[in-house]
Amino acid sequence: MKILIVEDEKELVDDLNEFLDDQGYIIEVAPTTSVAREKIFVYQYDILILDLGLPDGSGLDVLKYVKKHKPQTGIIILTARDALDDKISGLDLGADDYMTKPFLLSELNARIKSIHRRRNFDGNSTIIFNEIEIDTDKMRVSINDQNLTLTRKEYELILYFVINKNKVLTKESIIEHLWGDHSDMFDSLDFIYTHIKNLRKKMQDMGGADYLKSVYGIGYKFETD
Amino acid sequence: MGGVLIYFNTNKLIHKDVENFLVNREEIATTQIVNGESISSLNNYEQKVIIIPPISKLNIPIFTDTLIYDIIDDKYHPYLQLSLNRKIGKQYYHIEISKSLIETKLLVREIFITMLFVFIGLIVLMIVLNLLISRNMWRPFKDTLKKLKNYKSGQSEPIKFKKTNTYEFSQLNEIIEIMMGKIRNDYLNLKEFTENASHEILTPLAVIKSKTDMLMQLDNLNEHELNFVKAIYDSTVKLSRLNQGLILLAKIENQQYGSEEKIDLNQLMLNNFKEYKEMADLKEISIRIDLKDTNFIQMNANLSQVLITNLLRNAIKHTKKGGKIELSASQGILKFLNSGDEITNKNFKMFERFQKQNSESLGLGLSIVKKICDRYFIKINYQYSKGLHEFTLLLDTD
Repeated sequence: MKILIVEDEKELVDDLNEFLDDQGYIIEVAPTTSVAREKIFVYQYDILILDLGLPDGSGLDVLKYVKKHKPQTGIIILTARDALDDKISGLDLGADDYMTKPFLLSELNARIKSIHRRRNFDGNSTIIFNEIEIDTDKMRVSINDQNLTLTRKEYELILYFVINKNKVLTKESIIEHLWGDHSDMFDSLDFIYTHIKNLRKKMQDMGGADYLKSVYGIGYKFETD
Repeated sequence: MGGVLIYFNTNKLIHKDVENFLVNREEIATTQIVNGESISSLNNYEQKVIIIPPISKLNIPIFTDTLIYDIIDDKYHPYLQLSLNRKIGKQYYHIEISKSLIETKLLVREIFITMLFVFIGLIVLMIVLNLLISRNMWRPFKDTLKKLKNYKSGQSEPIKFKKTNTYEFSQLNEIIEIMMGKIRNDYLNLKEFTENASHEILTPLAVIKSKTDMLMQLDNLNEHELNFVKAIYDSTVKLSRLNQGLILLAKIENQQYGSEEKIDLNQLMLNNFKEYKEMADLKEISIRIDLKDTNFIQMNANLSQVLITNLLRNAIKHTKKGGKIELSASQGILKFLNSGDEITNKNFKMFERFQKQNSESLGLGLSIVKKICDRYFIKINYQYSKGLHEFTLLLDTD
């Protein structure tokens, strides 16, 4: 899958590049709207990660351009501005998703995968990892071809882990992904542990391996090796 | 006042005139006596000449106001009388001449009444003129006032006034236009600064966050090192929340949330109740909702959402595990109750920025709530009784 990152902040681009490259995507970068337009005109991208505040103009112009010339491209707006006008006009113009800075790479990854599945580029909505099979259309998970009975949150949890396998996911990021940005409402984030414990038990009951590792009390990791 | 003045002045003038007349008449009488006319022929109704024994007081005219009975009218009429002692030849005479003041009285009255009519006419004319003038001449001024009243600092169009021929008004409009232009520029600069600040701060924050995220993924970090990274990560999260909160406050203060629509607050409460119930369940908080009547309000949709969620979040955040939350609404009143310990700090200013009960919270949530309430004339009250914190929103129902 090919991704074009339109972003001028070099450090951020480097991180995105490294993280997404690691995920097996082909990454290209455009630091300005003009470069972005050229690349979009010449090449075909599956997903566009678009910063709105660019040195030579607004990312919204690039968005319009993409919608006109390459409407099949999925678009995630990435911006520091959370001015509601931008958000509304961005989504009105046909962006698939919207993320405000600062964001987490694991969350961005989950959103990219989600758009990818929705747009069904590969004609395949099933994620398979070893004995685990996740059907994202029917929201069903099976291990060794046996169905798991999961709650909605447990389903989202395992999907988030499998997408971000071998990455340390902090408790905050898990809560943010599952419940929105509410982690400040809790004195302790230990309730996550209950969800992890239940999920681990259900997976092991079906003969699955124990992939979920706790990382020094700061978060969890779906470890494959 | 003027009428009284005119009355007295005319009266005085006429009096003087009558006095002169009497002096004149007296001189004629004297001449007649000198010419040797008989005294009896000089005596008549208004004139009396008698011979008197010699006296010393001579040639001093004395004027007196007197009433003389009039047989025809059967009334006393006012007269002015001149009495004088004179020596003509060897004889001494006492001469009394009177003149009726009834005509002068009538004259004064006529004048007074005429003046009165003129005055009233003038006053009426002035009122009418004033009305016409204020209606026409002040029109550009009123137009200016109206435009100023309806002006919002956030509006995209600069203020423009109607052209007027009145020099003072065109001056005024010019000055206001220049002044408003300056204010508008300052406002736009401030707005730009707010947006830029948010942008410029959040981008490096995004870099820090993604770097710490990458750092956390390294396999060779020990627990001690990882905890350092986690602390940076936590602070970044907090900083970005703080930034968002402050920007929101600034935007509300700058009235950048212009568009308004009719919001069903009860419905909004119900929707958020459903969303936050899950959060409450995680903390084992029982949450009850009781909505009566309807509460519609004209306000910005985003701000109404912020208002309700901030109050709900506040309730969930400050309720201990196993506590309870009660939400209720009736005509014009919304209540948010949650169980918890009393705030012991007497100086705790609930609705001010950075007032917090624990170091974990930012202390912005309720100040944002207060700002929104102020903006839409909603009264917000807090009280604590029987182990319950109670926030009440009172809507302006007229």
